[in-house]
Amino acid sequence: MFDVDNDIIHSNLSSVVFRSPPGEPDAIDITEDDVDPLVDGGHLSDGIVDFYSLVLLGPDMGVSSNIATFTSLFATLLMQNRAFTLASLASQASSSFEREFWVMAVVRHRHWCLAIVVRPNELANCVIKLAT
Amino acid sequence: MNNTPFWVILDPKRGGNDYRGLKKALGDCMMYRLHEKIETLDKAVLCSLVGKALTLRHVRVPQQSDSSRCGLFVLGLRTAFIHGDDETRRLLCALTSLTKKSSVWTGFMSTLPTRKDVITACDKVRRQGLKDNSNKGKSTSSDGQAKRTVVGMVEAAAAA
Repeated sequence: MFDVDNDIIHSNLSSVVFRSPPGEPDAIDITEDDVDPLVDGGHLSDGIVDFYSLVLLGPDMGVSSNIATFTSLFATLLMQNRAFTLASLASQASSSFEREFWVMAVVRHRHWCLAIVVRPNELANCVIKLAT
Repeated sequence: MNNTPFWVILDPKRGGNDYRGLKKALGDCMMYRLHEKIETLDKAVLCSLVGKALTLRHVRVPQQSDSSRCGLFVLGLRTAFIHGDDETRRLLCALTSLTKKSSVWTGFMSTLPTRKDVITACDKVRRQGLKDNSNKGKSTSSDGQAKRTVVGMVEAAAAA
């Protein structure tokens, strides 16, 4: 928790280099703290990975309707502040739980991995079978 | 057809990583959702059942020469999964640590974005932002000039 608070304070102090997509309410702020390690050969930050995920996706390329994608911040909040994230997830379209795949980039202790949940839409049936 | 749900962690680093925290958080997330559908089951029981139903496969993918490349690896893999066809997704979900040396990985590694690609993209968006701001500034200053001109004309007319 101490580290998280420090990160938030540090992030707030760092100046924004650019916003992407510009003018959008949910734009990603890329700060000096994100850019410096990128240029210096250090670890990639949440902001950089989420930003470049959007670049790779392209403005005209949609995500298949059977895939739900989440930002890396989602996984971080899920692990650190579950009540908040669960509430925000509940307020999202419940269709996330009806997709065939969930894809999320996860960073822990400055190490990246990719988590893919396969067939979360079948989980209810599976749990009911186990319960009976 | 096997419809069993599971989740897979594609981890570009060997050894020692603990995903229990993520598994617990993800399980809680699923449990909250399922509790809306299956109200008859106690939350604790439901949580335990989700843990059993949603098995984790931890795939250690080939060691990166530079640990800071893990982010680039994840970016490439995420894109391959999202943009790929059903066959690609099936392949990626079927990967195990034993596919370490398969041609799947060799082919995939050649498509990874580089640090330079990311820097170039950042610079492009930053420059575009500066250009947009500059245009806004020009627009504002010309508006201001127009207003001043109008004010000047009104003042001149009043003086006359």
